[in-house]
Amino acid sequence: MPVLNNYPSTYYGSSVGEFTRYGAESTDWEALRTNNTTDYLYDSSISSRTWQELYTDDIDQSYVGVSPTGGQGAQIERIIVYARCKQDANATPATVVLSHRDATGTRYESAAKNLTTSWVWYAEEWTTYSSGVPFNFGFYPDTSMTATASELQIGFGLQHGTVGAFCSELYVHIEFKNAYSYLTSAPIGLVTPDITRDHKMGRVLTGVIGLKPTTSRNATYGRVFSPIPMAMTATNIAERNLGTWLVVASADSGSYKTRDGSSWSSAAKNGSIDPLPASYLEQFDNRLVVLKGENSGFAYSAVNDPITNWTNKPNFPNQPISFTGLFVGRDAQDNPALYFLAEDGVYYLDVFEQFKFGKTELSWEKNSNSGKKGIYFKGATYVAVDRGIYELQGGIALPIGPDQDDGVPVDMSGYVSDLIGVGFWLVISINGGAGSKSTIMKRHIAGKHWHTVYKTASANSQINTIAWDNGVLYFGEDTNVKSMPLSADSDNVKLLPTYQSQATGALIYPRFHSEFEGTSKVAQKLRMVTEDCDANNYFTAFYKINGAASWTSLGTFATSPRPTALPFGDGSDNVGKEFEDIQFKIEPTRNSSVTTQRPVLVSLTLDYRVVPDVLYKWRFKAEARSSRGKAGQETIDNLTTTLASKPLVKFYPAGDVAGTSYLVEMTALPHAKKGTEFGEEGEYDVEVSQVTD
Amino acid sequence: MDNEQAHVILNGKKIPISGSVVWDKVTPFPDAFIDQPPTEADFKPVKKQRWGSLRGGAGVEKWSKEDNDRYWEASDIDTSQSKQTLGPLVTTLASFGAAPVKLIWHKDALWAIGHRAISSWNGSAWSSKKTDIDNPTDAILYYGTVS
Repeated sequence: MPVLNNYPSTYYGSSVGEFTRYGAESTDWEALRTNNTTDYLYDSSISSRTWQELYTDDIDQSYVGVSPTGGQGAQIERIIVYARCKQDANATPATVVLSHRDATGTRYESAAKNLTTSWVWYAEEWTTYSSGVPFNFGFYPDTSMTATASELQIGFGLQHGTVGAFCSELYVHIEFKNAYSYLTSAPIGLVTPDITRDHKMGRVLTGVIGLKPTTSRNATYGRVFSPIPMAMTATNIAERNLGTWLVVASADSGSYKTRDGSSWSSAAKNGSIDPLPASYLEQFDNRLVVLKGENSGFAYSAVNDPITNWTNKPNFPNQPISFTGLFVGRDAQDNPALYFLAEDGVYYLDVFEQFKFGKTELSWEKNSNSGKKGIYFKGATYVAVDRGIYELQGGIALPIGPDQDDGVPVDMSGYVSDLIGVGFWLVISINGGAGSKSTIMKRHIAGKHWHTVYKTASANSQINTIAWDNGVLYFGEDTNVKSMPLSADSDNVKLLPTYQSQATGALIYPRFHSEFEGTSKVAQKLRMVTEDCDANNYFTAFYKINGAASWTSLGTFATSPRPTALPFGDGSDNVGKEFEDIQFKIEPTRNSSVTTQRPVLVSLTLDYRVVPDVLYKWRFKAEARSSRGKAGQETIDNLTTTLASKPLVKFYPAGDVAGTSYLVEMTALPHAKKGTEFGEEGEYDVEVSQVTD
Repeated sequence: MDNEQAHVILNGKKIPISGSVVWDKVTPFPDAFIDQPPTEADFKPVKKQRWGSLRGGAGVEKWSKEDNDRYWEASDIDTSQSKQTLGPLVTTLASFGAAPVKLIWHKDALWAIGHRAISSWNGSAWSSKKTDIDNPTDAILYYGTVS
């Protein structure tokens, strides 16, 4: 729709005398036409509201390119009155009320808006004079500069608390409808408005409307091409008409676009369907495309044109499932390809000619927590699948965590809700839902595992989106937006003197069984090598033995580089702590008032002893001699049988079966071989030994 | 002096002995020759378990020698380098008032998109831009014709 920004040209009333003018302008109202804050009107009154109302420049159809003889002309669809104001100092706030009047002189006022000590634009929009009464202000052939029927009265009123107030600029933004009704007559009809538009554009350049975005383009155009025939303007119109839109999609409300947030309009629309359903957005082949939230529904704009009617494919893609996203990746031939995400996998979309779709190699069982995000980054496609992420490269899909290995602690379990690429790092958010904490983690693309960047302080602080810009990571947590430095200058933040850190943190090591699992160990001391530690920047060490329910504090490390080792023990007797497994938690604390200070942990060392149960061995001399009817050979046979025994055998060192027995193996049977009449008979040096307790 | 023991019982058999039975303690770790510079593993009085770089990342609950550069979990700790320190300072950007579903840079400002709440951040405060879009799901910047 055509728009016009119009500045005041003359007074409306006589109240100007209550203001003081500052700046170089010759009259008070001209100060309000300037786009600076050195020319302004100032009111020091602290009593009742004082008004300044003015006529705008002549508004007629010439500004919107319509002058058909006998044509109906344009109608105002809505107006927005803008004023740039501030107050003197921090005190009881001054307020501003914006206003306009209708053709009968009735004044319509906005609600009072609080001023601050900084120059701020205030705005009020009207789409009707009052409820149910549309604007009756239309355009008819009229080029008068004074006729009230073609002018609009706008103004502002200041009221004060205990301070004075300023206004430096005032204008009205007008949007029209029915501007091009003549276009429906015949194609030849296009010629006339084009020519007319050229003529009127020259007129625009004499005004001050070039101060605002929508009109500044006109000004630029005019400066360069105003003397040039209209035939040349077409190319330049196309160039100058390109700009950035913010487009927002809603599963409930369709999609909407805005240039700067002041005005919004439907994005995806098609004829009478305005807006088209649209849950997810992507740019592909220079078109803006939208996907409905479930089952089917796809639409796309013309190339580089989100404004004119879109092409609607309401039955494509046809898949009875909820869709969860759109992204552009690469196909097997390394060509750009459009994909959509669903609760059961990733699908390709062959659009604009074929309109086919199908599953890719990334599919899984339906899961409402899967497929929240997909990106193409550094030559690979990454797709969030519930707690994990698939990396697809060269047709090979690999799970890359962060739920690999031993998973994540239950208090921070959740699904991957967002995924972005920052430098050479993949950065993800994990939504812990109502029952778990949410986290942000990162993984170097050449690395194998994930590092925790941030964890919420409590459960049900959900993180669903992250974004990065120029060294700062932004994320939504619960109903807040938060930020943290994620440097673009160096991954090693320790080297950045301006790096600001959290006040405390926690690092939990794996449960350490040592290589002697099943064997008793005793922890003796915990040592640390540190940097930058002092009384304000230190580490506190905690430990758990054999999965205890709570952490036990061991002490602090508060010097560098080698603080005093912390002993394990009971009270004052540092005799050690026996463990099967031991786990450590280290909590850094930085200077509470200096965010750029922090302790650095270089290494953590546990001194421990492996203390298996005591094993015995025995040596004795066996008398293998025949004596008193007992053959020495029998003893020899008994010894050799025992020596050959593979299972352990019982040994009673006291020679009494009522005594203590030990399971042993015979480890030595040297024969004294003293040579008797009984051949091998003699004295044997026997050694038997326990091998286990 | 005690009477000399006559026998022991071994493997269910009485074995006559002469002299006494000598008890000894089995040494679990025999001495070994070292032909390389000593390491922490050769340190005799105690054994040493040292954690240095944790660049291997999170997710290992039970230690193993092969994963000595990994840890179980962390919060507000930067473990991505060879030395560990506190994680980045988190700042709340005033009160947005809705659960953000998308954050996006536009017009040199951060825009937050939430249920009936679309606002831009000017560095010190949120500026409301739209309040009637229900349950937004996505947002994007698109460069195209403007009129």
